[in-house]
Amino acid sequence: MDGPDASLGGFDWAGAQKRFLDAVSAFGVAQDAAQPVPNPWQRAIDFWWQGVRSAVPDRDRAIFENLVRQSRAFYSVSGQFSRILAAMSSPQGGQDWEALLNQQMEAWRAQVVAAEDPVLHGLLAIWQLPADTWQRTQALFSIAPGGAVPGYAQEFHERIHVGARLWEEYQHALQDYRTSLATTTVVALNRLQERILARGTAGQGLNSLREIFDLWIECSESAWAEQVFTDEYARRYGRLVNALMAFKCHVQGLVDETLAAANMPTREGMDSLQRSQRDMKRGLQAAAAQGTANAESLSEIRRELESLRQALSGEGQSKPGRDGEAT
Amino acid sequence: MNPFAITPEAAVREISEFNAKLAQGLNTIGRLGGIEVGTSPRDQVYAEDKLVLYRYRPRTESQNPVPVLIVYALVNRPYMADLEGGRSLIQSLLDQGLDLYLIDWGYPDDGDRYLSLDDYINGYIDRCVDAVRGQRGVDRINLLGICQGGTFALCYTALHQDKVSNLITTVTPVDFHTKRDLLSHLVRHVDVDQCVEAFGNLPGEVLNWTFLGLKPFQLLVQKYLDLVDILDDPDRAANFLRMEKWIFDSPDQAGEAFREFIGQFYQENRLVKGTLSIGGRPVDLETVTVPVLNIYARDDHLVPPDSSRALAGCIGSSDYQEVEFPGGHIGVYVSNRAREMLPPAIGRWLNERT
Repeated sequence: MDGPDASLGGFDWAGAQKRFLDAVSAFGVAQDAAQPVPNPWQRAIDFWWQGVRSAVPDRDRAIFENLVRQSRAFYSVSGQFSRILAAMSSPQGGQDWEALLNQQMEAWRAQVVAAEDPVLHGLLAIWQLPADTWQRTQALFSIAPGGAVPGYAQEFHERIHVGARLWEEYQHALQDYRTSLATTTVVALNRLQERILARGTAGQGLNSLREIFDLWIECSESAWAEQVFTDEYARRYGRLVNALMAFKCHVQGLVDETLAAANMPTREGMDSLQRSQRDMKRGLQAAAAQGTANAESLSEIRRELESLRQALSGEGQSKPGRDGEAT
Repeated sequence: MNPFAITPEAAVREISEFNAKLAQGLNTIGRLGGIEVGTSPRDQVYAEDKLVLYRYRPRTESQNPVPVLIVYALVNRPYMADLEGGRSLIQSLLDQGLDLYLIDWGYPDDGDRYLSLDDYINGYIDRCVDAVRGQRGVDRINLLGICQGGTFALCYTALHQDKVSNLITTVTPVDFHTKRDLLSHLVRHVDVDQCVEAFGNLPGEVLNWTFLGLKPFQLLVQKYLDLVDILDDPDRAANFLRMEKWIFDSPDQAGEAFREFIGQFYQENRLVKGTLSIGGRPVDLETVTVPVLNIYARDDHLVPPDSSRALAGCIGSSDYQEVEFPGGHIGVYVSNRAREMLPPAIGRWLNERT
């Protein structure tokens, strides 16, 4: 370990973090194996990261956030197996490791089905809008534009209802997608359990948490690869993306109406401008290309003309008598 | 036999060691400072809108007289081919005596939303080709396309063959409906028109997540655990950070071009069906008669080998060669093996045809 890092204000964050995590780790293993508790290693790394985050330069923050986030997956998987290890080593633990494994894997599958698995949350992140998005959107439009225009407020409220329906469809699609991911995760856990049991049968040991973690990654990736190539998954994925985009488009329309009512530039207007600008640019480029081609043609004609002139002039010089005869 | 050969104490020790490495990593990354990429000396020779055309300074006394224009994909940034000194495909190609030009597409913004494939292929690429031809005083140049840039270079060759001497495609999708094409499978039911309507330009972040989601456990989880293992080695950590910078440096995609590419290539597979038109001109691959070198990656999870190899049955060229690289999509550009194998193969192939 290196000493204190000056870039972090001279404080030995690394040392402090290690001491803190050592203490918390010891606490974690001492837990009752039968009780699923929030993983203390995960909580510890979160606590540590909150402490050092502000001291990390912006340049390095994103990469370290990823590191911390994905370390949680390691802690999560390790936490599941630490309970088995602790139970096996306890005086009452007995030797029935298969029963302990089955029990722990069953608890893990239950967590996945209940959508409490942190890795599953990570996979869904990009497709999730904050739960209060629609509520905030509605609040934004509580001042309906054009309220003084008879009939308009009614029309606007109908659009709000359409938005609510689209939001609901998105929620259904998200739930559907989440269920398919959870199913895959359960398939991966079944596969992991089988692989561990097979190791026992083959007399092959698992010598580190990391080895177990890598096995879990392998099982998860293979289960995922099988799932994503099914038509069912492609349909669910398409439904989720389309539902989210439909909702976004609808909200944009509402925003545009509000902006238009305030006599401000709208997205539709900007689109129109950008399209016109691109068309004009194409026109200019075509004109420039035509200009270049014309200039080349003109140069060619000039060269041809010049050579004709020279030829004529040369002919005149070589046959001076002809002109004389003609005149 | 009980396979769990781990005591609780060993488990705690392992986690503690992991934590120590993680904390040490913060110091290592902090000390590395800014990560530099794309450092090979080069000069800007043409610019238009966000696009910049560069010429790399030669590293050999004499060069192949026919310049090579590298057409990169619109996805991610072209410095992947020039990550760092000693780990640069660009430098290895320069060492083969090639006269290299590269198109950097830049970062499209809202003003580029209506850029179409016609603008990219018949516009930008054509003007870059003309700029290179004009600068080097040659009628025809060589094209080297990377991934989607290979598809663009192929379409360009079909439309402007009089300006192309030889075509090299690398990990280039041609048939978008092969069995193991996961990207194509994923977008089959996506309403791309609605996506573009919702986003305008497609955010690079969304595209990035889509790519990472093809192998999420390896690319989003395990990779970072592997990083923790190497964080005590500044050189390896720096290499990782360079790749990381490249992976997450994802320009937004011009909306109209994205709509056309996903719709006409990925969803409708028009390129191999012979029904593709760009700028109102049909793209008929059978008219491609220039020599073609097609490099594909055996373990490519983004562009399956079959998708690239379909090129053989589509073009009219009697001079067609394939090179299989034993690795993945990115490995073609950044691995030691690729640098040892591909630049000499490309240099030799071009020299034989110059």
